[in-house]
Amino acid sequence: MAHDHAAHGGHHALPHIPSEGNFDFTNGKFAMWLFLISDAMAFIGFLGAYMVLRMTALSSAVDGGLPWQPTWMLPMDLILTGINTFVLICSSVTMVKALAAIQDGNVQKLRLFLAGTMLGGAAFVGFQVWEWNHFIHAGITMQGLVVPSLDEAMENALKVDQHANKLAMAKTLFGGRDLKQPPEGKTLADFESGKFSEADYLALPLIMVDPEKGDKRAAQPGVIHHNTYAVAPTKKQPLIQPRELQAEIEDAEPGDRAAVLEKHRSLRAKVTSGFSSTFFVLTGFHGFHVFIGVIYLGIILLRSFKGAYSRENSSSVEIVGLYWHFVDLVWVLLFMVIYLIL
Amino acid sequence: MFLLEGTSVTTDFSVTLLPWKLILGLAAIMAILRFAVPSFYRKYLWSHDHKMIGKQFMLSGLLWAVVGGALALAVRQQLGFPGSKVPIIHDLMKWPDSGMPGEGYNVMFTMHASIMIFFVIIPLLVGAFGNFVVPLQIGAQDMAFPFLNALSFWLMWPAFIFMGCAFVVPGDGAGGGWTGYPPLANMALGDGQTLWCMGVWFVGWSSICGAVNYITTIVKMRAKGLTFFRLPLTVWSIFITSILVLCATPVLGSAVTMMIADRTLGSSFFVAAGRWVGNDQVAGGGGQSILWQHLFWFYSHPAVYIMVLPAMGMVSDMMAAGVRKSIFGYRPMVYSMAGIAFLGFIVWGHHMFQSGMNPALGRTFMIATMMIALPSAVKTFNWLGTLYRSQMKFDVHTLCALAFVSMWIIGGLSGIFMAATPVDIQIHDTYAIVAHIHYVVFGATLFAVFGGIYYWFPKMFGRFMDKKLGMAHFFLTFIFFQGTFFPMHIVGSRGMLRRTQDPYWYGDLQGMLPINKFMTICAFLLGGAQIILAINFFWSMYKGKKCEERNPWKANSLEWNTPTPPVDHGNFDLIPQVYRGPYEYGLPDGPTDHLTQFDPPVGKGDAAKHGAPNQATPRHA
Repeated sequence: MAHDHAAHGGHHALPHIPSEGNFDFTNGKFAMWLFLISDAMAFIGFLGAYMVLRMTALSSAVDGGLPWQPTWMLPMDLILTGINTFVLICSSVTMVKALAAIQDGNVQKLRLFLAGTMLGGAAFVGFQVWEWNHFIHAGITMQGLVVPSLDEAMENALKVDQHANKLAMAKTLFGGRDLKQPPEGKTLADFESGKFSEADYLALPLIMVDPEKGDKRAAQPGVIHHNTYAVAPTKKQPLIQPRELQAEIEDAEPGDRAAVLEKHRSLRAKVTSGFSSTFFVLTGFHGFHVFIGVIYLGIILLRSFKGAYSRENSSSVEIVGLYWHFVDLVWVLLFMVIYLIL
Repeated sequence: MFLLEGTSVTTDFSVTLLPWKLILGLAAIMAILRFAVPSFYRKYLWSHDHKMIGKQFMLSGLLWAVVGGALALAVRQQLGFPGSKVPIIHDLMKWPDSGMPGEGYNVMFTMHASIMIFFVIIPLLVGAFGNFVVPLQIGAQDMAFPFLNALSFWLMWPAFIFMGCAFVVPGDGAGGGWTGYPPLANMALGDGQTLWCMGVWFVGWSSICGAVNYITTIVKMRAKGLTFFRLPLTVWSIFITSILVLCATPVLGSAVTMMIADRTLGSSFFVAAGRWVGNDQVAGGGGQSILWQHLFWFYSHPAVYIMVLPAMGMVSDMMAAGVRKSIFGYRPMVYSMAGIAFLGFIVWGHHMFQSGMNPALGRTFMIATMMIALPSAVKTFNWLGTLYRSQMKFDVHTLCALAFVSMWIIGGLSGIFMAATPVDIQIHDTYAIVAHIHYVVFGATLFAVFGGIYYWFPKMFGRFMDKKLGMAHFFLTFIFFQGTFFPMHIVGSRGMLRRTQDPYWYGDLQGMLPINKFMTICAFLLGGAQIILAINFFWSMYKGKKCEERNPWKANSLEWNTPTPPVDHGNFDLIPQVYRGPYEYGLPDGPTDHLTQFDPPVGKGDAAKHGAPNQATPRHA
C-alpha cells in the first residue's frame, strides 16, 4: 500500500528515474523540433500579413484602394537574389556533410564543413545588408517608398521595354490620365508598343480632376490620390501635402487643371505601402534567424575544437542542423512569395 | 516620419528607455545577489527546481492579482458611483478633481484585463500549477530543461516592468483595451501603449519557453509504466495547453512586433487608407486594421482555452479525489480536451462578427464555434456523471471543483448565444460579453485556481490551509461573485455598453444605475473576501497544521508518493513505478477505498494485472 513506501525512504543520492518506452530521440532534438514549429508559426504570422495585404491591395485597387508595389519600381535584382538563394541552399548541403562527417567520426571534416556553412550564412546576410541598403537608397524604407516624379517616371517609361511593366506603370502613375482617350492619330496599341511620346502622355485628359464625367471609379486611382500619396520634397521643391495639391487642382477651372498638375510634375511623391512594411519585417526577421544561426554554428565549431563531438556524441550537430535547414527552407518560401510571385 | 504627422505616433525614446534601465537595474541587482548571497540566490531567485519556480509563479501571480483586482474595483466604482474619487488610484494617476477621466477609465479596464490574463491566469495555471504538479505527477525529478524553466519565469520580469511602466510614462497610458485594436492602438495612444506591446511580447516568450519544456517533459520523462493513457488529466491538460501555446503565441508575437513597428518605425501594417485620427486625416495607408484583429484573435481565441483547459484538468483530479469516484469517461475527457484545442484554432472569427468581415466567413466561424459545445458538453456531463451517486467529502477544493463545473455551465451556455451571429449583433460589446468572460475566467478558472491552492498547498509547503477560513473564503467569494457578475447578463442584454466610462450619458441606460450600484458593492465585498485567502495563505505557510503524511487527500497520482514537501531539487526518494490509471477510487473491498498509481498490483480485478490502463473497476452498487 501507498503508505508503506515511506518506510523505505531515506535514499541520499537521487535515483535516476527510468522512463520506459519514452521514445529514443533526445530531449534536445525534440525541443528543437517544438521550437521550430513555434518559429514557423511566427513566420506564418508575418507571411500571412504579407499575403493579406497583397491580396486586398489587388482586389481593392479597382475601388480606389492602394496599389501594390509596382514591380518595375523595385530595385530588386532577381539574378543576384537567386544566386544568394543558391548560396544558402549550398550551405544546407555543407551542413548535411558536416553531420555525416561527425557521424563517421571525422572531426576535421566536421570543422571544415561547419566553417563552410557559416561562410554561406554570412555571405547570405551580407548580401541582404547590401540589398537593404540598395532599397533604402532607392527611396524604399519601412515607412513607404518615394515614387518618382512625373518627369522621372516619364523618363523611365520611355526606357522600359516590357509591355507588362508599361501597363503596370500606366495604371499606377498615369492613372490620372485617361488612356482610353488617346490623342488624335494615336491608339492605345501605340502606347503599348512604345510609340507614345512624352507629349502624347501629357495630351491625355486628366480624368481624376474631371468630376463632370461622373465616373468615380475611374477617378480613383490617381497619381495624387489624397488618401494614398503624400508628396515629399525634393531638393529643389518645397513640401506640398497631397491634400493641398488636391485642393489646388479641384479649385482650378477644369481647363486649367492640367496646368496645375504640370506645375508640380517634378515633385516626388512618397507613399506608404504594405509592401515596404512587410518586405523589411519578413526579410529582417529571416535575416536575423540566419545571423543567429551563424553564431550558433560558430559556438558548435568552437566546441568541436574542445573535442566535444565524436561518432557517438553528435546530437548537438544534428540539432544545429535542424535549425539551419529550417532557416533555409523558410527562405525558399520567402523567396518564392516575395521575389517570384510578388 | 512626416508621413504620420497629425497623429500622435511620436515615440519619445528617452521615456521608453525607462523600462530598459529598470531591467538593467534588476539584472545588476541579481548579479550582486549572485555573489553576495549565493545560496539564497540559488534557492529562491535563480532556482532551477521546478517546485520553487512554480512557487515563484504562484506568488507573482497572486501579487499581480491584487493589482488587477484593484483596477477592476476602480472600474466598478466609476460605473456604480460615477464621478467619485477612487481611493489611492485617483491620487497615483493624478486625475483631476472632477473624477476619473475617460482616458483614465480606458487605462483601468485595459490594464485590468491585460494583467489578469497575462500576469495572473496564464502564469498561475500553466506557470504555477503546471510547473509544480507536472513533474511530480509524471514521476520525474525535474523538468526536461531546468534552465529554460528558470528563464521562462525571469522573462516575466521584463514584462512586469514594461506593463508597470505603462502606467507612469507621460501620456494617457495603455488604453487600447486588452485587444489593442488599431487604429486607436497604433495611431492615437501615447508611449504607454508601446510599453504594453513590449510587455505582451515578453509574456509570449515566457509562454513559449514554458510550452517547449512541458511538452518535452511530458513526452520524454514519464516514469516507468506511466503510459499516455495513465496520465492524470492535469498532465493531459497542460500537455494540450502547451501545444496551443506553442502554435498560437508566436502569431501574437508577430502581430505585436508589427504593432510596435507601426508605432515606432512608421510602417503601415495596420494603417488603412483614409483614416481620421484626432480630426486629422492620416496621410498613409497600405495596411489593414482588420488584419490585426485576425492575427490577435488567432492567438487570443486559443488563449481562452489556454486559460481554461488546465483548470479542467485540475478540477478533474480534485473532483475524483474529493468525491471518491473514478472520473466518468477518462478517455472521452482526453479526446474532448484535444477536440476543444483543435476547434479553438478555427473559431477566432467569432470575435469579429461586427468587424465588417465577410458574412459568409462569419457563418463558417459560427458553425465551428457551435461545434465546441460538443466536446465541452462531453466534459460537463462526464463531471456530472462523476458526481452522480458519489460519496463527497466536503473539502474546500471539492467545493471549488463544484463551483467550476456549475459556473462553466452558465458561462458556456451564454457562450453559445454569443456564437450565433444574429444574437451577437444585439449583445456585441455589451455587458453580456463581460458577464460571459467573467463566468468562464473568474467563475470557472479562478475557482479552479483557488481549489488548486487548497489541494496542493500541503504538498507545496508541508502544512494544511485552514479549513474554516477556506470555507468562509469560498462561500463569500461564490456569493459575491454571483452578485457582481450575474446582473451583468441582464444589463448587457438590455444594451449597457462595455468600455464606456459613463454609460448613464445615454438616456435609456440611466435606469441602470441602481443595479450597477448593487454590482459595485458586491464587487467590493468580493474583493474583500480575498483578504481571507491572503491571510489564510500566508498564515498557513508558517503556522498552519502540519501535514505529516505523504497522501493527505488519499489521492492516487504520483505526487502523493513523495515526501511532504517533496525532496528539494529532485522529488522522489523512491523510484516511482506506475501500475494503473490515476482514478481507481471507491473500490468495494480492500484496506482502502482506492488504489494509487504506485501501489503494486493486488488481487483479482485489479486493472494492473490485466495490463489494461485505467479500466473501470467494480464500484459500489
